[in-house]
Amino acid sequence: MITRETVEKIAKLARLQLSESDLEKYTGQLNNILADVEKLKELNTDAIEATTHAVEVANPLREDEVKTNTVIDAVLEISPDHEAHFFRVPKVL
Amino acid sequence: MELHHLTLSQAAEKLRKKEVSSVELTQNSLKRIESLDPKVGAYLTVTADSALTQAKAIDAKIASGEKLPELSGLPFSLKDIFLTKGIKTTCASKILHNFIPPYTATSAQKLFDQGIVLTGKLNMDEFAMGSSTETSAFQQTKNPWDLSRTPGGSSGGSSAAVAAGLCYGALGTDTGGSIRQPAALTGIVGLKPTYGRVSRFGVIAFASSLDQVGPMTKDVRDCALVLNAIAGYDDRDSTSFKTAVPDYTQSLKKDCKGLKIGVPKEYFIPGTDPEIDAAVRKALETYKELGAEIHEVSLPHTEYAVPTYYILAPAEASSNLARYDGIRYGHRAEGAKDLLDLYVRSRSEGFGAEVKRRIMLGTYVLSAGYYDAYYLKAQKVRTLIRRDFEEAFKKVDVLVTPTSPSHAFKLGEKTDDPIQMYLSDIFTINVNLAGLPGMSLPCGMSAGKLPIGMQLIAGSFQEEKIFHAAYAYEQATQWHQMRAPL
Repeated sequence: MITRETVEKIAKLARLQLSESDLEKYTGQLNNILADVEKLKELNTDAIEATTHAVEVANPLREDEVKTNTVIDAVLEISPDHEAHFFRVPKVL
Repeated sequence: MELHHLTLSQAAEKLRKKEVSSVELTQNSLKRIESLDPKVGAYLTVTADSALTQAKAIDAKIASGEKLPELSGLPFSLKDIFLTKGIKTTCASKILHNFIPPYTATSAQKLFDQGIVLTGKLNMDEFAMGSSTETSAFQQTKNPWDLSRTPGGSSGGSSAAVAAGLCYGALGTDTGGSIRQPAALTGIVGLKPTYGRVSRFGVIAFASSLDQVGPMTKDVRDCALVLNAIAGYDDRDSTSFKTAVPDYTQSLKKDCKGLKIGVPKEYFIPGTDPEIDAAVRKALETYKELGAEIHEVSLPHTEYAVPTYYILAPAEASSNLARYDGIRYGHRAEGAKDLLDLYVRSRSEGFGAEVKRRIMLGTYVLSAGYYDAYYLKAQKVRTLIRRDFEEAFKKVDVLVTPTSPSHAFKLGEKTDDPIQMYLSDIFTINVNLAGLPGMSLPCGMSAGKLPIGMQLIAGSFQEEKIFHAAYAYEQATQWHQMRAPL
């Protein structure tokens, strides 16, 4: 069982702020979903390898070449707040 | 036949014969969007001006006798998950309400290179998380066959637009059934290709090991044309596959002699609507008449797919969606007192309830102490699910199943119960977990005039077998000629 306190902790980790009613709701719903997930425990998977990608992929390699990036200005242009070549954020120090 | 009922291939032929111009096709689509979309709600953005400019350019090329690709000049639309340079792309989320991408997704660019005319961006579940398009932050899309029902999801804007004849084809994405289920619920063809067949570059990520891009069209030939255009390796997506792309239209054959069709017994269960079960069984009879061999097969781990998916997909999503922090693009909250507060407020204001639920679930299953019990366990069960399919494909060429256990359900019917909503993907999720190609195509009509879809599944990179089986069935039946009464 996940408690309301755990849900609060998870929200903090996920950088989400939940209202009182959302905390209640998610505690119930997450418990229901995780109860369904318990079904996986029926299977013995000790000797089974994990699948990370369904299709076998190898890292494709390429030459390490210097290229000019042409989208920097366009990327800054759509940011909520920027100055010169930097994103501006609230004061950290 | 009225212009908006044409398939991509039929419209292309009319263009070639100069019976119609691209501008006429485009104006006709735009007019239909203007008059019908207030009812259907498929479009988040309509790109009328740029569409007409593109259409004029294509007409000029046709007039000058230039030989053009088959899709040139045809009105086409994209799920709002595909980045389109200079055109707002929201993923149906408030957190991207103002996002205008600086570049274009590879799959979209490949269609633009073919000369398609982009008429707009289509509604979807927020971040593709949902099965009814009801989690969109902006509007409700309705099923053109019955406006009180869902067009399916998450690519519900795409399915509704194609089924209503608002565009000639669309792209969707499919993480757990998001192309195939809406295709089934609206009576069109939808294909999720093999993982790696189509580049995911520029497609907003939901669950990176499951997401795949695919066509949503009125018939099988159109589907092959669109896949021809978008498939192939992309050096900007390291999970796209370096293998030759065949011409899929070469697989469109009318008989099925020697084709081995597998019927997985776990997909014919009491929970499925009896009309759907009957329609798929009738399709199997048609296959027999076409010369196919029918074999019962077993995929014993089928029942574990939904719980496996509801660990893996939220885990990957919680990680992918960490990027939405209000710093570089998208929504930034006002009045934050420090950096942490800025993250929290921007995310809490920007994400909707279903997205938050999945981020919470994903964060939980990945958190310290739970990783082995949930995430690793699910990855291991995923291996068992893959092996089931590998065994089956030693015996048969394609599998036939229902696409969805139910018809298009009423709007609002499942919104309060996430588990009921998740179960609507029970027949499609396995295919994503195994990375396989799967197509939904129309195979019937309920007594209440709602379309029924069946799913064809093949082994990795065996899309040609799906096209062969799908086209033969389609040409032997009338279902692909059904058009929504709008």
